[in-house]
Amino acid sequence: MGVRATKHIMMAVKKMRSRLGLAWVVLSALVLFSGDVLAHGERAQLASMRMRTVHWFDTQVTPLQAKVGDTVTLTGKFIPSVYWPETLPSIAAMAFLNVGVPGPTFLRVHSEVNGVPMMRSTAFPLGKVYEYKVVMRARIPGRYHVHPLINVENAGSLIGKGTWLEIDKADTDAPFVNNATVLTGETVDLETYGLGGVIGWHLVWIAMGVAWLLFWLVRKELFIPRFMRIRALGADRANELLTKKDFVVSAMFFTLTLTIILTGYLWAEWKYPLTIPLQTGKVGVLGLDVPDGNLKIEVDSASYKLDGRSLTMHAKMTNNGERPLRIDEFITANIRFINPKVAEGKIVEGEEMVARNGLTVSVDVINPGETKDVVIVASDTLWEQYRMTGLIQDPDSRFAGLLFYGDDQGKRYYQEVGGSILPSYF
Amino acid sequence: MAQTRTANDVAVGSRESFGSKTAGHFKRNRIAWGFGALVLAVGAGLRLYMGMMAFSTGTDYYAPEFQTYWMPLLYGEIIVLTLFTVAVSVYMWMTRETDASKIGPELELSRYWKLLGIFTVMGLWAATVAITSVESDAAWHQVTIRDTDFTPTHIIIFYFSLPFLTAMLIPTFIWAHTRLPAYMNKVSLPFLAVVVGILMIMPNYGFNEWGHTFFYAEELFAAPIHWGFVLLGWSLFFFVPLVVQLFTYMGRSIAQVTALRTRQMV
Amino acid sequence: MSELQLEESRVKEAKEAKAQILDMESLNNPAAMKLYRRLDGILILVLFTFLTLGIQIQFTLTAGDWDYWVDWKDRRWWPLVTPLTLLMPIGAFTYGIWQRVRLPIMATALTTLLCLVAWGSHYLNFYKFTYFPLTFVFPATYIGVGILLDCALVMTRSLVVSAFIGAGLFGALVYPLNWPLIAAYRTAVEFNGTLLSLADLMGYEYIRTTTPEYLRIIESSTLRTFGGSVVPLTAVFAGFVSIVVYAIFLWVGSYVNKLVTFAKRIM
Repeated sequence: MGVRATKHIMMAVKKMRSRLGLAWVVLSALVLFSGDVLAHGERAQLASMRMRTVHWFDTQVTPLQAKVGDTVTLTGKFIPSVYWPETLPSIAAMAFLNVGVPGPTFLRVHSEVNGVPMMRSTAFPLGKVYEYKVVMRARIPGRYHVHPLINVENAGSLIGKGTWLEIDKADTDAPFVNNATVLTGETVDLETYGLGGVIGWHLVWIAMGVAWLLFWLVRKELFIPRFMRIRALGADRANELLTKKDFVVSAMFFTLTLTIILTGYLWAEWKYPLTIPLQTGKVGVLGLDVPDGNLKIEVDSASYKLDGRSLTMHAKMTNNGERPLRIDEFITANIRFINPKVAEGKIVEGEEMVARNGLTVSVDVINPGETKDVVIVASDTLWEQYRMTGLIQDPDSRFAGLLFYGDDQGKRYYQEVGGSILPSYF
Repeated sequence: MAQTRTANDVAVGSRESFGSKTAGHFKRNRIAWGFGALVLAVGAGLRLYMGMMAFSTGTDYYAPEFQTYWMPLLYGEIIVLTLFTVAVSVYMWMTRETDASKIGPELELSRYWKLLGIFTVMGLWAATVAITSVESDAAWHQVTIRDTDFTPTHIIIFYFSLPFLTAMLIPTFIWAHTRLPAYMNKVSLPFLAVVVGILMIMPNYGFNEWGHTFFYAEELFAAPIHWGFVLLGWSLFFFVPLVVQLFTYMGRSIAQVTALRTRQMV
Repeated sequence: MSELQLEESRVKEAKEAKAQILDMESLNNPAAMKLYRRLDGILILVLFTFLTLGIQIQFTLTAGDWDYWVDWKDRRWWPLVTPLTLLMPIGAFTYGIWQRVRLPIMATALTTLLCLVAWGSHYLNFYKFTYFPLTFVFPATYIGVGILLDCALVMTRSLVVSAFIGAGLFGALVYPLNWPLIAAYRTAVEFNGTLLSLADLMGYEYIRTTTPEYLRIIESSTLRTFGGSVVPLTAVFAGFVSIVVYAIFLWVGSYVNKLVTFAKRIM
């Protein structure tokens, strides 16, 4: 092969690369990533705010793999913190139970809190336990990070931890159907219902609008000639540019438009005789009491290492109950720190943000009637990964979290602890 | 008067045959075709990128994917647009013409067509932004959690789509004021109002992000926090007086050139 | 000094008058008319594309939420907010275009452009990008009321009178104009023992992570309706507000329209 031929090939390759190569590289990169869909936002808020708003726990999504059309259930509990920041509008005023997913990739078919359906907005008084359940139907294939979420009016979205969920295509190629049965007994598919009418009426009006514009804009003399003539005539005589034809056509358009509006209105009234206004409102839901197992906890002090990954808490605990208690878990900002010595905490499949050996407790058991000074250390790389070290940047250095403990019969208790927190520089 | 005509006759462009540059907006205006196609390709490319990458890599600012796929795009956009605006503006200014009498009527008219060509490109871009970008931001923020000021849709609309309009407007403004006799050695106020209004949308990002971060947590697109953009969008009202200026001067240019031409033919 | 200035301005005026005569003569010159028509085509393209962006920014940032979702198009707020915001740019543009070229097109042009751009945008951004079904995110139409406003302007030949008739109808008829589009979604359905309209049900089912139910600005009032006449009462009030807003923005347009001037060079 001669030098010339090699050169030729090189040039051809170069040419092709410049035209297609870049596009190909970009496209393949896009395809690689297009299946994996994140739904995050949990690391953005101030560390102290994440610790003192909503404590999510027992979050579970089942199943972790499903097909389009299948049902997926999201369950769990939460406690709105009694240390709720004063500057933040309260969850006890107006809130809405939601799901953190990228758009309607799922269809929410049912949701409830403590047995109350949650189609409406609601409010969650602080310091109570709420058990939620959201049933969804997978709608768009993909891999999603699904989070429980509560929108709090004027405070924004407070997000629980996410679980990866794999949604495959349905077995059939049939389009996704979302049927609803209206009170008249008719069953309609909300994915397409009424769309024909919508598009039809839009086409009518677009045709009318375009016709009007064509009438005025397709003329022998338009912008500059009209401008020059009006300038020559003067403002008082400018109306001379309007012809009788203009008037007649306008009158016709005016009449026709009013007629179509009236016809459309009557048509809709005839086609849909029974309609109701949009429905809105607020429902109330009662919170459950926190099962504290008669353990009295007074937090003396708390600190976190500035260059480390741990939170240390000194507390005085008095067991006023009848069974011995062992501390097994601490949850704050959605991170679970588990005491490996007790390890009562159940870890569900696909669960994230779990520090399996994250909790060290200075006291093994607190027997009935005993008062003990307890040192609790929660430590894990998750502390850093979820930007909890940013506490030093917060304008209100206070923390809160849920402390879990159990008795010798396997009964599980928990309560919220919190207070001031100091950085330790060394 | 006679002197002026002699001056015009020897001026640049007057000997060009009528109907070449003057007639060619769609036929021969390379700016409208070439640059317009490039602009639309860029718009389509960015939209494609956003559509495919936003949900897969753009929902968590603190994830490494975000830093790989979105932040370089942001920096790239800022660098490219700044360089483009400054370079083209400086070039337009350095090559400015100050003597209006050296510009013959036909050359003047050809420059009006060129101006319209640039405005066509800007118009195509404006429509592209309107269809692809503006409400992508609404759709995105109403289904995802805002965790940064640099969300994927912001990176596209705030740091490319809208600034690109400014990046085209500023050099055009300078070009028009240094090449068109009617605009030379003075400043067209409606043109200035359009340019400044659209330019000021960018400083308004500061207000938008400040408000979204500290004071307004809801994702209501019609919220008062967004009305600054609306107010600045009203700078497009000045398109009407700008067009009236064009009617006056381009109309006169056409009248003169065609009259001259008809007289020559007779 | 003043005489010199007077002389200068007299020369300028004479020159302008002469040029204007030449301008008028060009209207009889086929070569000039050919170029004027070419300019018409380009200008319509330029003007309409920029207007598309203008009306999109104006509408989406002041009334967008009502237009995006079918469960926002209520009887009290949507028919009030949308004409109010649309008439701002319509008023400002109509003044100049009517005064300079006597074309009654701006209301129809802006509403038609809005409709087209809304369809394109909702399709790309809500249907394709964020997976909503079109049944939930189709835009409303305002073209009909736009035509009425423009027609009123031609027939009355007066900006002021058309403000009363045209803008009044513009505001009042938004709801009946769109009723054939939205009525289907107002049929009732029972869900978990609660009465919902199909639109509400869709709002619940199609998850909007950061658009909670309470964010909807709909139907909020004392709920006193005096025999249920919510729609007509809103229509009358919307008509009134529209007249006021349109008049104010015609006035704004009159000031904008005066700014055809040049300033002396800054540098």
